[in-house]
Amino acid sequence: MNEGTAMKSGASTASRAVIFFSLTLAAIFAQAQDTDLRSYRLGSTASWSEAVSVGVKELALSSPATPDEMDALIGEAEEIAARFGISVYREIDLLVTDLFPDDVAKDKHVLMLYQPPTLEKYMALKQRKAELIKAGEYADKAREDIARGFGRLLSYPDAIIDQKLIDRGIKLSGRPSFNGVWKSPTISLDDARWHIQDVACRNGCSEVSYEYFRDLLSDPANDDTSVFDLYGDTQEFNRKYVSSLIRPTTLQSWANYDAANDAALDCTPQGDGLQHQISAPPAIKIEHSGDRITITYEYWNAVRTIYLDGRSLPDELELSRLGYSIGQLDGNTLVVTTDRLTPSQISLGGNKFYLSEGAQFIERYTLSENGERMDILWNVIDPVNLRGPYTGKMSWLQAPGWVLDKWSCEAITGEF
Amino acid sequence: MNVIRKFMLVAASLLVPVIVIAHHNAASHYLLDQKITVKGVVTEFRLINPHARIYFDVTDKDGNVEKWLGEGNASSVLRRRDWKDDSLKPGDEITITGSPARDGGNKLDWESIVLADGTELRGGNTKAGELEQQLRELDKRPRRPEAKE
Repeated sequence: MNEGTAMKSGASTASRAVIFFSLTLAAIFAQAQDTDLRSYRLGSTASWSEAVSVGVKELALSSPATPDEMDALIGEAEEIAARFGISVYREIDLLVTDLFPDDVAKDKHVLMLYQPPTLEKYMALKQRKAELIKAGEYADKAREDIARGFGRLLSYPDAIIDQKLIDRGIKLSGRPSFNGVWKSPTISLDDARWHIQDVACRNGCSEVSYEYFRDLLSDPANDDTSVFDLYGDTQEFNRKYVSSLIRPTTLQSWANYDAANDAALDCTPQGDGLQHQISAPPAIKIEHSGDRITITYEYWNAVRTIYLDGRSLPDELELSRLGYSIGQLDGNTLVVTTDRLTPSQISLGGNKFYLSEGAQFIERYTLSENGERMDILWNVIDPVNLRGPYTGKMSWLQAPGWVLDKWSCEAITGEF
Repeated sequence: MNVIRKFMLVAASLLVPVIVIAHHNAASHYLLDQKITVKGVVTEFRLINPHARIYFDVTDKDGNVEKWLGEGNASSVLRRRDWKDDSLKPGDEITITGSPARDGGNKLDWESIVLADGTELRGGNTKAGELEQQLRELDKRPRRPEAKE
C-alpha cells in the first residue's frame, strides 16, 4: 500500500522484478526439500536466465552445488541458458564479500548467468580484491567498495546493499546512509545512546521545548530537581508556546471540544494524520534508491515515496492521508516537502484542531556523523490555524538486524 | 473510591448495553483524567494492534462474576519490549489500574498491572503514568555529558 502518489520508472520496476524473482525462487527453494534437487536447480537456472536475458539482472548466480552435483548439471544448464541467449560460467571460487556469509559457497561451485561484458567486470572485481589483500589494504571503504561492486553486478539496489551490509554488522564508510531499519525511543528505552530529552520526547516534542528541556538538564542549578519535575516545567513552557502559536479563532473553536469526538479508528488509518504517522513509535525502514526514497512504517503498514528527481509539487492531485512528497538531499540532511494532505486532526501541546486543506509539512531528516542516529524536525505550515510554522522533533537510531513486522490490526466490535 | 467507582461503572454497564465499534484514540473512549483499580483473573490475553487486550473476570463480594476488558499499548510496541503472547496467561490474578471507559462499560485503558507475586507490568496505552516512571528512572543517569549535542 503506497498511500503517497506513486510513479513508475524503469529502475524501480527492475528492482521490484529482482525482488519478485528472488521471492519466487525462495518459495521454490522452500519446497525443494520435497522436490528433485536437480530439477529444482535447472528450473531456477531457467528463471534466472530469463531475468538476465530481459535485463532485470546483469548477473545471476545459481545456488551453490558440490563439484559432483555441478558436473551432472552443467550440460543441461548451458542448454537452458543458450535458449535465452545468455552465457554461463562455472565459478569454482566465488568472490567472497561482506554481502554474504564467507562460507556461502565454500567448497562448492556456482553457475554465473550473464551477458557480456559482465564476466569481465566480475573478474576485474575479483582481481581488485586480490590486489587489495596483497597490499594489506582490504579494509574499510576499499572492502565495502568490493561488496558494493558485487551487489551492483547482481543488480541489487543501493538500499538493499546497504541493508545487507548493515545487517552483517558492517559499518558503512563515507557518507552516512539513511538506508535501514530505525527504532524510536519508545521501543528501545534501554538503549544507552538515548539522551534524557529523547526519552521524554519519545512521541515528539516541539523543537523549542526539546531545547528548553535540554537547557534545564544542563544547568547545574537544577541538579537537585528531578527529571520528572523539569519535564513538568517543560510541558508548561510548551503549552504556553503552542497556545501563542495557534490562532485565537482555532483555539476558541476547540475550547468546548469533547474528547469523545476524537478520531476513533476502526483498524483503518483514515483520519490519522501525517504528524502521527511520522512520530508513531513502531519501527520504520528507509530505502534510498536512485531518485527516490521510500519510507515504510510498521504503523499501518504505510509506505511513503519521496521523489528526489527535482519535480515540482503537482497542483492537480487528489488529497490523501500522507500527501505527495518531494525531497532534496543536502549533505547528511534529507528535506521533504509534503502537500496535498487530507485535513486531519492534529494535536500540538495538547491543543487539537483540524489542519486546513492547504496545510504543508516540511520534514528534515538529519543523520549523525556516524550514521547511527537520525533526528527528524518537521514543520507544520498552516496559516489558517497557526501564526507561524510549528516545529516538532523526535529521533531514531539504526536498528541492525531488525525487520519490520506486519501491522496486523483487530478491531473490537460488539464487545461489552 | 476505586471500589465505589468500580461498582458505579458496573451498574451503569448493566443499565446501558454498549457496543463499541471502533478503537484507537484512547481519549475518545476513556476518561484519561480518572483512574480506577480492579482486581480480577485473566481469561484471555491478546497481544494485537491497535491495542493489546486483557480479558478478565472480576468477582464481587456476592460471588457474581463480571467480564472486563483492559486495553494497553500496541502489539508493535510491546513486542519490541519483549512482551510475548503468553506474558499473561488464563488464571493469572491481576490488579489492574487505568482510566475508566467513557460509556461506563467494564473496560479500562490500563496503565499498570500487578501480578499476584507483586511483579508490576506496564505496557499501557495511557502514556502519562509510564512516562513518569521512566523519567524518574532517568534521575539515575548523568545529565551533563549528554545534555548538549
